[in-house]
Amino acid sequence: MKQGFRQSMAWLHTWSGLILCWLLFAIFLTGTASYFRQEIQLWMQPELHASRPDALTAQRAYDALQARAPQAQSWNIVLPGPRSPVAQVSWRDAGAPVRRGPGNGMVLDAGTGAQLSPRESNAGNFLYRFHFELYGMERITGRWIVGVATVIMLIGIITGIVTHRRIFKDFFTLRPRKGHRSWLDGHNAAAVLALPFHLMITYSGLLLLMTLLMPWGIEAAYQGDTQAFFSEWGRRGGAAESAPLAPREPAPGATPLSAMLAHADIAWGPGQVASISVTRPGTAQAIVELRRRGTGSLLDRGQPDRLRFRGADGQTLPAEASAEPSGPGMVYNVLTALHLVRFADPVVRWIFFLLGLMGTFMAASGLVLWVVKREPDRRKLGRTPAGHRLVQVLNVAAVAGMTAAVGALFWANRLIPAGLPGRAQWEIHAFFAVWGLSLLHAAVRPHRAAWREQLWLGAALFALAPLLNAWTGTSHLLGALRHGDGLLAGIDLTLLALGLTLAAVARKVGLHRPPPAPAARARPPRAAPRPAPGGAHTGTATPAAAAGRGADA
Amino acid sequence: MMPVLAIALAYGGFACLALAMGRHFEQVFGRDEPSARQRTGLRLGGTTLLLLSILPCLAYWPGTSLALGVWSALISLAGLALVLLLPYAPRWAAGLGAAAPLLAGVAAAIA
Amino acid sequence: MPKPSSAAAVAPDTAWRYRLTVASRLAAAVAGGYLLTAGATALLSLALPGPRASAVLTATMLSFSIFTAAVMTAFATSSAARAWLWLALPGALAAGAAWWLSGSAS
Repeated sequence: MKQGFRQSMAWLHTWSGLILCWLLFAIFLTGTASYFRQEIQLWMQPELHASRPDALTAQRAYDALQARAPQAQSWNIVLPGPRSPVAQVSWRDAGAPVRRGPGNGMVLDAGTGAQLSPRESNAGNFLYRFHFELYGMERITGRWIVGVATVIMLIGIITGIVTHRRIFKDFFTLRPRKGHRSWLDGHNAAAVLALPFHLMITYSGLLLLMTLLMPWGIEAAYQGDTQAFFSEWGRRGGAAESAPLAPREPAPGATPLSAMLAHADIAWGPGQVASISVTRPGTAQAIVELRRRGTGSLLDRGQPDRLRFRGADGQTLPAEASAEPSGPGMVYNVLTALHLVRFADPVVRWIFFLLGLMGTFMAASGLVLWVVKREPDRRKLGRTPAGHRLVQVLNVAAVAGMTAAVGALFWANRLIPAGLPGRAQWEIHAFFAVWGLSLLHAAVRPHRAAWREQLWLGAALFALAPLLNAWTGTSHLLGALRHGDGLLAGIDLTLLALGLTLAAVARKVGLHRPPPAPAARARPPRAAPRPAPGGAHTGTATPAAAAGRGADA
Repeated sequence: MMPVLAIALAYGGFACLALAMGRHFEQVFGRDEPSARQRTGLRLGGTTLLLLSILPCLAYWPGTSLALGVWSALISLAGLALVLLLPYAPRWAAGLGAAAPLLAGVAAAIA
Repeated sequence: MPKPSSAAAVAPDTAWRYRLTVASRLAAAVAGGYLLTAGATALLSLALPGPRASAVLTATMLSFSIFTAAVMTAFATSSAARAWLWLALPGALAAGAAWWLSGSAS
């Protein structure tokens, strides 16, 4: 193009941003929510809220497995921790193939060891899956769509950096109450301040999808044999069955679990055991592995520290040698571990959650900016062109509507009866019902009213969720605070805070008075029909770049 | 305590860097530009504080890669706080830039 | 780029030519860019030194940077035709080289 490089990058930045920004907002929103997937799942199963862990929880879980699945090939116990008050046990039966996926399991009250029957709910996992697979379509299709959106996001970031002439001068600039200038400042602030995060989350997201989006390296070097690639890389791939099992010999006496736990207390400090796995339980070949809470180095994908013992007598065993990751392997591990934030302590999780919210705001403000920036054009025209109206409606539904739909998940969870078969699916139906209604609402209401009303709905759904919890659940916020139950109190307080934030935004939208329109001038009707200006608008992020564009050769 | 110290140092660092710019210097102090010497001092001090904020991260989180990853996220939050404060309460924003690192440093030393 | 909504009347066929140019660049960016990236990834996977898995990993991780650069190139060249030249030609070359290399390796 004849105009400058920066201008064409600005053009590309705007269009790459807008085209999939609705999708990108959804990806950011569900991704940010997914950082607290476990907490969401916990809130949605109030039957678990009375569980109080203590020092004997591990033994109770062990005994429960002993009673329930004494002949199993392996057991796994996930102990209560900062993110869950219950013990989760699972086992794999002898003869069942080793593969990813659930075996058999149950949830136990940490204080009594009794089995709990929480209501069937999948909302947290739904949001997590939506983040990279969307919903209602083939997994591969969903991943491709998300992958393409992520590539466009990456292009948006890079072109945004190139475009932003005064990236350092404007670094701290925020000019409130100045119309589209303010929205531009907000969009830029959310984008530039968290630039390392955005770059990391986008690129690592692509890495997580790389074998789908760019399989040609594997195709060329391995003739398409992905399994061979994974095993040479050293990653856990498909079914890998170890050596054939020797016949079982019963073990003499009980396994001294408490001794092993005491060992871990000395090595790692008290309360640091996150999970316990036992292979070949009840036999002389039993091996007990304790895994530590938290993350080790990210170079190894944040694998936690482990202690291994011989089950029969509690003798410590050397740690399994794990292959040192290769150079590129380390890069992959660090980036993807930062994206997924598994095994992270609450501080790290919160930091990334807040940054995710910044990213969500960045997407939302970009969408709003597109509309607000064209306000002078609409005023000059005296009406809203069809293209603008479409963007307005979709903006409200995509941003405020989806936010309200997420809030609706919590309400659906408590209002749909606990015993109803298929209730997990009904919660998801409720999400889409609210989202669909928000689209209709946005189409029939004036633009500002649609924003205001849907934001207030979202605010109410989130802020009143703790009340809903108190009314329909087994614990409530004040009780949790009194007991020092940080986890449940924290979830309720976060929902309240999100609701109050939405309320503040809704209020601002409601109070805003647009500047008075200039006196309308009588315009002669045009002779020939012209294409709607909205459709042909190029739109630029920086107004200065709009000037001086030459015609293309 | 370490994460608080890290974010306080980062905030102080960004506050200095912001004040080194005429636009924000004027927001806070009312007069126009910082002098050349003030500008250099602010830039140097700001960068130093930002880099110093890496240390509490390294102390708190095991593994350099995790500590650095969290550091870059943490300074973003510090920057966000500054950006939100500057237009609404510029004196407070700047004052916090001095007070926060000091208070957090003292608290960390005592604890 | 001319803005059809601005004051001066713009002849319809110029607006169409503009849109065609954009479409052409977009096609060059997406198709040509993907071809170039796929070819380069395959080529690097075979040509980079060290263990095979590391080479594939490095090449695949870099591929997204290559694609981004390709798309930006498609919109930065002085004409749409040049966009195709810059992307499709090296793309075909890289793909061809990779195909030849993998053929001789197996």
